[in-house]
Amino acid sequence: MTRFVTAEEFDEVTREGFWIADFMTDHCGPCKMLDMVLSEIIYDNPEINLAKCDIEKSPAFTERFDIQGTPTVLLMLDGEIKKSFSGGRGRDELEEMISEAMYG
Amino acid sequence: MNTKFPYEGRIDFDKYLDAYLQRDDAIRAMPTEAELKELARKAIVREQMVLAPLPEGEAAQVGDTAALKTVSELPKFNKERVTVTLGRGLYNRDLENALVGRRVGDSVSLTVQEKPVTAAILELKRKQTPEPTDEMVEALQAKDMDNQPIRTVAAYEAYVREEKTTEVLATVNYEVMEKILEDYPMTEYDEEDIRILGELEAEAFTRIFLEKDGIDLRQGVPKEWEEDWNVHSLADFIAMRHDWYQMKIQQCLTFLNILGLPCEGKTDPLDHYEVLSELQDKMFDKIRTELERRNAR
Repeated sequence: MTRFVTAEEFDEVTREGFWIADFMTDHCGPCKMLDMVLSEIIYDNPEINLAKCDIEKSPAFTERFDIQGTPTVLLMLDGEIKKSFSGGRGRDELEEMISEAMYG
Repeated sequence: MNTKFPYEGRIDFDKYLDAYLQRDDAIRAMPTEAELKELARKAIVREQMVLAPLPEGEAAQVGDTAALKTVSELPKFNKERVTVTLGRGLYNRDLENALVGRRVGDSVSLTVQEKPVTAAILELKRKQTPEPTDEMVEALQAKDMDNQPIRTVAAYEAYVREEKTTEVLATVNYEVMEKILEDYPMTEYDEEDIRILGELEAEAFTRIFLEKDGIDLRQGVPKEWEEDWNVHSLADFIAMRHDWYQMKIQQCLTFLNILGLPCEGKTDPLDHYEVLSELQDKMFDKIRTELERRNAR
C-alpha cells in the first residue's frame, strides 16, 4: 500500500506492519528517482507499505525526525524505527536494508 | 580560457568504458521500451493493488504473498506468523522458492546456515492490479522534473522514460569519468579563469533566485546559507566555491578532449554558465551511442 501521510496521522498509520516512510518534497530530483525505485519494490513486495511524507505540506516532520535533507527514509516495523538513511539508493542496496529491517 | 589541458589527445575513453562494462555491477544497456512501460505501470497501479486470497487448493506462484509459521533454532526462522513474498528473496530465497507450487496447509523443510528450518503455509494471497488509467495518474499527484503536474498515463510513461534514461546515463558517466579524472589530474589553473567562472555563477544564481523565489542575492543571502556554510554575502559564497570552479574547469576540458571539440565560442566554459551541463549532455549522447553499438555486435 502507498499513501500520503501527514504528521498528525503518521503514528496511527505506521503502527502495524512494515512501512517505508519517505520524507520528500515535490521539487526534489533525488526524491523522484528514489520514488521510482521504491514503487518497483512496493509493487513486487505487496506486504511492504510506503508512507509518502511531504515535509513542505507537513513541516512538523522536519523537527520530529531531525530531517536535514530530502529524501530521508525510515524503515519501520510495527511502529519501531529499524533503520534510516538520507539520499538516493539503488534497488539492490535498498532491498538488502529492507530485508534486514523486516526480518532481522 | 587560459588554463591549459595537459593531456591533449591522450585519453582513451573506450578503454575506460570497456573497463567499467567488465564490472559485475555495470549497467550494460539502456532500458528497453517494454521495461520502461512496465516501470511506469508498476508506479501508477501501486496504490490500487489488492491482495486476494487464493481459491482453495490453488498452488502458490512466484510473487504470491504467503503467511508462514516457521520453526527453527534460528530466531529469524522461528516465528508464529511471518509474511513474505515468494521468489523475491527478501526473507530467504531458498525457502521462498521451495514454497512455490505448494498449497495452504503444506509444509517444507530445508537447511539454512546448517540448521533445520520448517515452514508451514498458513495463508496465500495473490496480487490483483487494474490497468493504468489517467485517473490513477492524477491520484498520484506526481510532478515531472520541471515540477509540472503529470495527468495522463502517456505523460507518466514519458516522465519515466526521461528519468530512467537520464539515471542510467548519469550513472555510467559518473563511474567512467571518476576513473578518468583520477588518472588525468590537473594541478595548474589560471586564476583569471576562476574569477570569470565565479562571475558567471553569481549572475546565474542572482537571476534564478530572483525568478523562482523573489530573493535578490545582491541584497543578502538566505538564512540557510549563513547557517550551513557561514557565508554572509554572494561574494563570500563565490569565494567558497573556488575549488568547485577548478573542478568545473577540469571536467569541461576533459569532456571537450574526449568529445574532440575545441575550447572556443559556445563550448568555452567562460562563454556562459551552462557549458558544463551542455557538455555533459553531449557525453550522455556519446555513452548512449557506445552502449547501443556494443550491444548491437
